[in-house]
Amino acid sequence: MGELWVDGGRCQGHARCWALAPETFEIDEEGYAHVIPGRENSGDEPNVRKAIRNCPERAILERETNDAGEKASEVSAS
Amino acid sequence: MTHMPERVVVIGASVASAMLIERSRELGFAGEFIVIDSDPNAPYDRPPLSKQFLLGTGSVEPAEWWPEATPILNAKAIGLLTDKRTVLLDRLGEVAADAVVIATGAGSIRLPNEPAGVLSLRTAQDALSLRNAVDAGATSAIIVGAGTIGAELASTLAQRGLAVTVVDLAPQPMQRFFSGHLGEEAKAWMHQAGVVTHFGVAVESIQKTDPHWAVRISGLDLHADLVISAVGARPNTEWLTYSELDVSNGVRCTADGKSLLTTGEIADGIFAIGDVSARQAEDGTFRRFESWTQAQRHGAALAEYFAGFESAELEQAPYGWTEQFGRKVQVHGMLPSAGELVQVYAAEERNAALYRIGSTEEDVAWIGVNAPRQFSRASMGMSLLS
Repeated sequence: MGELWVDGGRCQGHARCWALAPETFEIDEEGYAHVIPGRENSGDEPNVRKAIRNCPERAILERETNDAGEKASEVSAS
Repeated sequence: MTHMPERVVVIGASVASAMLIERSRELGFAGEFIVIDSDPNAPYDRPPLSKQFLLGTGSVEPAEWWPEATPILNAKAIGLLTDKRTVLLDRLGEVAADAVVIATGAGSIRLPNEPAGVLSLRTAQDALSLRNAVDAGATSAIIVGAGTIGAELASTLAQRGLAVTVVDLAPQPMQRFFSGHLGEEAKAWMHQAGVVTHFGVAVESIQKTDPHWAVRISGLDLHADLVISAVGARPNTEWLTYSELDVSNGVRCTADGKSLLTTGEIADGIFAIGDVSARQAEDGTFRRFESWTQAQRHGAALAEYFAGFESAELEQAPYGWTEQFGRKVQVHGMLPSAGELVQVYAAEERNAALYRIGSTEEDVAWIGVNAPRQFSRASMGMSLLS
């Protein structure tokens, strides 16, 4: 599991992630989502997995981090 | 117990099959997926085709959600040897597997006696043809069918400056999406954008009268540079005609996606996901959902079945959306056609509203317009405050 982020270019403001995992995602008035700071590593939690699967735009991604904690290539959340 | 196949052939590189593959790998599937699609542009995102794509200049981009390291063979499935779990292709021969997953989706319904040159919108190629026609200088369009696709096209083409006329046999826009609700509101969105509408009328004829088109409704001739047919979709099952699967309206399946033979028995190792599948409901009837979200859930649920655990994916309420005329419309739950909508929130300055129908946890459904925050809270059963 890597560091969670929401790709603003893909997010269309459905706000499903916020509905399913409000402890990890926050939205603006138009529904566009971001990860609550400090919650980037909650990708293993069942609600968050469900939010990732339910995003109609597949906009919730994870950055792989290597052992040194450096950001490596971006991969689709799975 | 697991039902994990080693080799799965998937017909259709769709959002449903992407989720099947991704979720399977997440659950430890180490076997092989062979994906076949006849559309040379697959996989791509369909929702933007009626919106951003027509407004832009770019090409159709490969879908970013397609699972990495999953090649797609460009070939057309032309038959299925059901008892051998073998798919026949128009080229590259045939493919046998432990499991066959049918994800061929749905294609545009064409009007009876539709002349050549009438446009439609389903594939990337359709969208490109339509955009080319607009780029070439078309100034007016008649859209036959005011479902979500027809309404989105009306919005986009009006935004591009075309004079748009919408014709539908139904009494209102998006009759099915809204289950007969919000008709006056949706007509008003269209009219405010300058779209002319004719509801409750049948198309009597479509003729090319160079350089224009003439569409006759109730003795009245409408004229435009383009005619677009958006009267709906039907499941892509022609290739299964001799398969012995029951394809009376989509591939008939159990609630969890196991395909049924015409005898009513389960076809061992044959599954259907997404728009092509007609799932058995609790009341015994078979229903097809043309829904992006439902397709994702079908894929995830099948992966969970393969991995051998009880899936809760399909227990979630349906979710659908459309974007048009500056409005983001979201629907949660099964909208009943009977009963009255209750408006529970409104912010007129941004055309926002939230509507509820039904009252118990089982039967409540919501429609949000430009109100994602209120909609999401409501659909999760939370208070609207804060």
